[in-house]
Amino acid sequence: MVGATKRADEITWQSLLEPRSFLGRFLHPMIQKRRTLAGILSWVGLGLLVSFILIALLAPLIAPYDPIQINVNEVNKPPSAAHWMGTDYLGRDLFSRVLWGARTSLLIMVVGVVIALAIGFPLGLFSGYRGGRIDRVLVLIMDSVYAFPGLLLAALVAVILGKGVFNIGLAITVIYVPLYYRVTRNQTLAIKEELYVEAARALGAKPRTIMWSYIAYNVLVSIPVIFSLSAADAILTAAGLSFLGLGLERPLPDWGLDLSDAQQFLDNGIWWTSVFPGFMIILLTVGLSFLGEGLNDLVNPLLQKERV
Amino acid sequence: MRALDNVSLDLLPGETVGIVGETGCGKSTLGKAILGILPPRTKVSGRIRFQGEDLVTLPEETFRELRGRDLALIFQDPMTRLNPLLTIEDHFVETIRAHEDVSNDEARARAVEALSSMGIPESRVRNFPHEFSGGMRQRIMIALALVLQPSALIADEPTTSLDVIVESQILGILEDLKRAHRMSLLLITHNLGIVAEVCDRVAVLYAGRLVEVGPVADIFARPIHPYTRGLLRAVIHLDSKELYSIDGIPPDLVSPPPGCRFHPRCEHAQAICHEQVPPLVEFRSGHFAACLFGKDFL
Repeated sequence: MVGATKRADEITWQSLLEPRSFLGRFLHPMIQKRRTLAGILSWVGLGLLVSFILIALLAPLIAPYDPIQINVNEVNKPPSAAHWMGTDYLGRDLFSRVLWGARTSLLIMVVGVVIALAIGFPLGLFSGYRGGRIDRVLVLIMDSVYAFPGLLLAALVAVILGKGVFNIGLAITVIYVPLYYRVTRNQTLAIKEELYVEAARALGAKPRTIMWSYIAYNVLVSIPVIFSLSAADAILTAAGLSFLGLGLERPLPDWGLDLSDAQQFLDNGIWWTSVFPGFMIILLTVGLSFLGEGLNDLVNPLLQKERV
Repeated sequence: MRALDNVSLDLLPGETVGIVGETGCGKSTLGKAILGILPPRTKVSGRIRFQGEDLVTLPEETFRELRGRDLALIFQDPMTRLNPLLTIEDHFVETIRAHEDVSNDEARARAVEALSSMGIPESRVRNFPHEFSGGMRQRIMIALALVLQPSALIADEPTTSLDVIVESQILGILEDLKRAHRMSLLLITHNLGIVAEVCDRVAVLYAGRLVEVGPVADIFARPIHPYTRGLLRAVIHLDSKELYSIDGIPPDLVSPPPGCRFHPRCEHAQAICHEQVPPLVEFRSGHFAACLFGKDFL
């Protein structure tokens, strides 16, 4: 679609960093303004996100123990040299569970947010481009879904779909489809009126080209920012669902689930089973928010002017 | 609202016709109407004949193929007419491939050729629009409009946003191209100097209606319609002591004045001008004017 006119051998690191290429739009200001607050935020956020992705990928290699292996002799042990984060009420190594939990969280996040994007983006594009009655009906549907409290809606869908990583991802999708739809539709409405779209029509561009290379491509530029912000939100929602017992099934390593199990032991001074999974949730969420907020400040020219 | 009313105009092969008029008189609308790129719910009635076909009734897909290939349009504001996310080369490749079944490499080669004829070096073809100056962008737009060698070009104030040096460069380029390809040019402008310099005939538009059409020399030397005469008097000369201006403002096209649309501002208006719409009458050979008292001004 967009890169169709580029040959594979032309796509080098330089071309990725080109200020107006898709990635360059984000990477270029990140490099140029790395010393500003927004630049630091986005780099810290990106660093955290990449670390979590590495942890998730390498969990089988770096986890010292089997995360679901029960050991009745090592129940509720505080952090030690053998168990860096201690053990939980079944004697499972918390450090290993926390590492494996990154996998669960990222998987839910990716399933949830990517599917939401895959539905919301084309729908918003179509709706904004076509206008008319279909547009009005879609706006009405999406707005009524959007007006619903997110966690409640996700809980409802989770109950209907049943447990499992993929189902929880789908439950989260339902919350974010309207978000992506709205952003995409609004951007489409604005970009549709841009003079370069009219100029392309005057040159006899095919409707398909106008739709993709001109409108969709320009709308897509505003997606990464809300993508990282909604991903942060999705992690919290997934953890919330797990905590409520609606999400995943034990003994799957999951931060929300571990937190839920840990709370009954908190009174007995067993703090580590709550602190470490909770800390991971915070760290990943904060990382994604930093990335989203940082990028937003860097690439949104309106915000730049306001903050000077 | 009627942006254009009863406009009838010929453009012959190889000819340059200037469209002049004030801001908001419908000049740009005319250009877009000819190309069929007015907003979706705009109604265009009448006929626009081009190479034996009526563009008003042409199916959209056939019309699309014609745009850019046979009939092209250059816009007045080059700063906002290029897609900020596509390289210059991408614009050309997309335009060429929308009309001709050629490979990316061939389209790319033609892009380089078209750009270098406009003085844009090959080393810059992979740059993005924001990396060029206004004058360069306008040359890129012209190269883009002409890459498929259309037989007619509509230039909508192609030099308005540019400085005089770039302006004369661009006009020179258009002149050369016209001569080389026997291309017809419809030049929309409010700059009478440009009209005098490059046009064969000129059409004066006032509030969506044609008020005068004729050969450039004739109109400049002996204008008939009071509006045209006012327009010509409003040009600064070296020896002019005071700049003439036509009193009043152009009418609101939502509720235009009845009769002759110029009558509220016309020094010579009579009672009948308030009621009767003046027809376009040939006062001299090829020189038409829409004024009831035209023969008084011959």
